[in-house]
Amino acid sequence: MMKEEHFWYWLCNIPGLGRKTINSLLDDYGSPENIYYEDDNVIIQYVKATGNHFCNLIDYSHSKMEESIIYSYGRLDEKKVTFIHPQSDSYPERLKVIPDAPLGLYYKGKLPNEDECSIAIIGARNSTNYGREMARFFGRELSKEGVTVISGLARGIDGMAHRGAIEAGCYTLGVLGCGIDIVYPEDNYELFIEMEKSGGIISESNIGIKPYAGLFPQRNRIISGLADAILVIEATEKSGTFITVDQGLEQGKEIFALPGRLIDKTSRGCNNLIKMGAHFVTDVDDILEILCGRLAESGTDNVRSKLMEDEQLKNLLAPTEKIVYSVLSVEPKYIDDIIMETRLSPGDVCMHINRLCVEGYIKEPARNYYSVKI
Amino acid sequence: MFNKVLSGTLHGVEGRIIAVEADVSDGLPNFNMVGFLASEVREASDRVRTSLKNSGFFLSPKKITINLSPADIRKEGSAFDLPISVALLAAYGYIPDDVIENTLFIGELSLNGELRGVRGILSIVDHARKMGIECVILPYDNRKEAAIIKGINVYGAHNLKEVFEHLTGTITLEKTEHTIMTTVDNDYSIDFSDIKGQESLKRATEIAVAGMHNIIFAGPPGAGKSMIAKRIPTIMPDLSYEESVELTKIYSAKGMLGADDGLVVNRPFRTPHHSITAQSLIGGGVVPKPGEISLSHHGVLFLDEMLEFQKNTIEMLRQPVEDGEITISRMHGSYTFPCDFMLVAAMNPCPCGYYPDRSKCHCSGLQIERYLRRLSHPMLDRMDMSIQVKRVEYSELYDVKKAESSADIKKRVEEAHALQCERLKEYNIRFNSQIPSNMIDDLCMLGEEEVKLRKHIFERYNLTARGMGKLLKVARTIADLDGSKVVLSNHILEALSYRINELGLGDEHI
Repeated sequence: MMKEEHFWYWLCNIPGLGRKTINSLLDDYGSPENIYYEDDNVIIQYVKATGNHFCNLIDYSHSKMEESIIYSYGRLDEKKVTFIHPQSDSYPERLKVIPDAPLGLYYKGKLPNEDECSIAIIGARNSTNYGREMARFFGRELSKEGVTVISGLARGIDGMAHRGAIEAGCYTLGVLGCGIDIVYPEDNYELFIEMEKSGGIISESNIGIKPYAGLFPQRNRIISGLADAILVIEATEKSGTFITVDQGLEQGKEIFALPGRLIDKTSRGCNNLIKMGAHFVTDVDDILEILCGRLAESGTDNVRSKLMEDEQLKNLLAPTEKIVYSVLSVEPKYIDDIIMETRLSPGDVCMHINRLCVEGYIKEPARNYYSVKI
Repeated sequence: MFNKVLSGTLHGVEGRIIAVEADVSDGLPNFNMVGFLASEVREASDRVRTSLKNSGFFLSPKKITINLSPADIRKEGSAFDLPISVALLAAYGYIPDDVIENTLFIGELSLNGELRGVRGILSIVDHARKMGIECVILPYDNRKEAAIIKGINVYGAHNLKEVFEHLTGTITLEKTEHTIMTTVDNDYSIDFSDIKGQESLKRATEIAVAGMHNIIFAGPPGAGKSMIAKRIPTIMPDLSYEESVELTKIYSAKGMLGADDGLVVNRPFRTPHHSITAQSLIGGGVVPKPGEISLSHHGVLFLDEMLEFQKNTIEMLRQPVEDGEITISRMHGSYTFPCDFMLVAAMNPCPCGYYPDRSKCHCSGLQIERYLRRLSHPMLDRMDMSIQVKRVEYSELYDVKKAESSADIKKRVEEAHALQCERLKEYNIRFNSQIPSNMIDDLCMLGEEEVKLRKHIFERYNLTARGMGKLLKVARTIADLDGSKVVLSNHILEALSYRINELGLGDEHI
């Protein structure tokens, strides 16, 4: 027996039938159930009249087979995927108000808490270590402050923002362009597993749909739609990040951008955003003040306090370790350069640097390259 | 008339004594050779007859039968020309029987009676001495190689006539004195001081050599990976006499020694191109000959661009790397060649070669992983150390400061080797890299602090038991270089820089 969610599920998965056509059908008929019980020919005539020529009678009639709808809906359960539609109780309020709101959504894990502020941390896939470290830092510290971090689970900035939130032990939501049973990019496999457990993954595409370029701009409108504000960490001038920013502006979201050096290609987009009026971010407080109207609580690291802590850490270290630590920066440095700068023997440098690594003060982003942690 | 002289042949890299019997009797004139002969040995009949004629001997038409025994060993090569001629001359009565007793004859003849050098002399002469043969007559070109062996009289002759005159007492060939003549003197034209910068790479190489650890260099093109690998032999301890003889036998068997070459005293450095076939790397052929791995015995086998080699070629290395010798079975029997070498491999860290320099490299983490996965796990397990190399900066390249010379490094390596040999003597191994996994803990003698550190590292770096074992072995070598009896946490921490796991990739993908 078909229930309401089955009708919605059916409506969202008719071949050739897009969101626009569905919306106008819903306007006229009121509910998916009414559409379902209307004569096939009438619907097809109606669809053709709206200018949609992709939907034909055979496909449409075929899609109405009750068993196959119930079977394929049941497949979602097997994969622990939940389907929601605009009439569901759990459908995010934030998405209802955006232009071109999504109809059916598929998610795994949990949906974000509607009462909390949320922020989309986004940026380029090809990013610098600085960018990734900052994404992780803001992801971590903002989550600690109760802000939900939303991003696109992509390589680079997106993934690191999620990672930061997970490090803080907080909820984070990833929005995908493809079906949520498809791990794309594959690099982030671990992150996927982690997020299914402690966060959430959501997509507008049904399971099994492979990623293709056209899906990503649509995904971006959901990222910005679910967030109250957008923080751009690093982006080149023509980055796809700006699709999200544009959609965010259309939806009336606050835009934050992290400033970068003028010569850095990867920061040019951010600097342009600031020039055009985006909020200038140098600290966690800058975001919290605008977003939540308050400053960070104690226990959250600000960039300022982090730097001070750095000084304190240096004082704790043994003299030679201090020498090694002080030549490191956010950009990864090759071991020979450290040897050159410290003028210590290679053996000693290896030893000190690994001690710092083992104790978690610094990290080794690539083999024999080291950088400080933020 | 029947007569018999001694000669020798090669079996793998070891010599075998072959008796050459000649019988001359009445009957239809005929020249018949038997005894499991390869075609080049069978052809000896024409060479021998003609060169005897051209040397001034008249052989009356008789039925001649030559037998090479034992008949179950396949005889190869052209070294039997001389012994067959001498046996014939004795059978015809030109040479008295008693002068050819206890004498080994080796040599190829040309049609005018000139003697030509053959390969594998060292192994054959060494074996002859062990069998109690007192005297060896061979081509002049081979005399120095034979004179490496002590306790046997070596006479080099230019042609068949000289041999005949020597045997009949008309002249006396000059006896070649036992000398350890060397192929090249122990002076490498390259030195570690040629390398500017690359401090960590040099340090890692020193440790690898000190413990004979197999090492992988990962880095962009032009970083100096091959340059440093070529210099590894210059910091290895000198070859001992026994090692030299072993090595020379291999080179001799392969026919790679020149006329004036004696003992090989330089440690070999072999760098086969990545198009090499499995057979030429491991050794092989219808009658197996030593391959590149045997030619790098007691030295370095350097595989440049390791990931470009055929996968199955690389996999063939698994067992020889472990055992230090390779047994090859073919139709005519199985042959064992020694191949105790240090494996040094160079590779790019990603398909484009420039990772982690993101201004040049745009390979994704997945691409990089897929590229590195070309090296199989079992093979990676046989490598002990790895280091990432970076291109040298201008300031380092033109630094006037003189870098450390090979001689200085070699001294430290030798000391570390001495310490290891002393400690590992009772276990019948020589280097830290050979320590079996169940003995690592006993030999490292970790204190309380070190055990704690070991646990911490194990969890922090997600190591496997084998990975941890290798880390400790390398730490053991670092401690030896340091002159320390026990392995301290400092040593373990340094060894972490050279750990083998997901090569090139660190905590996260850049």
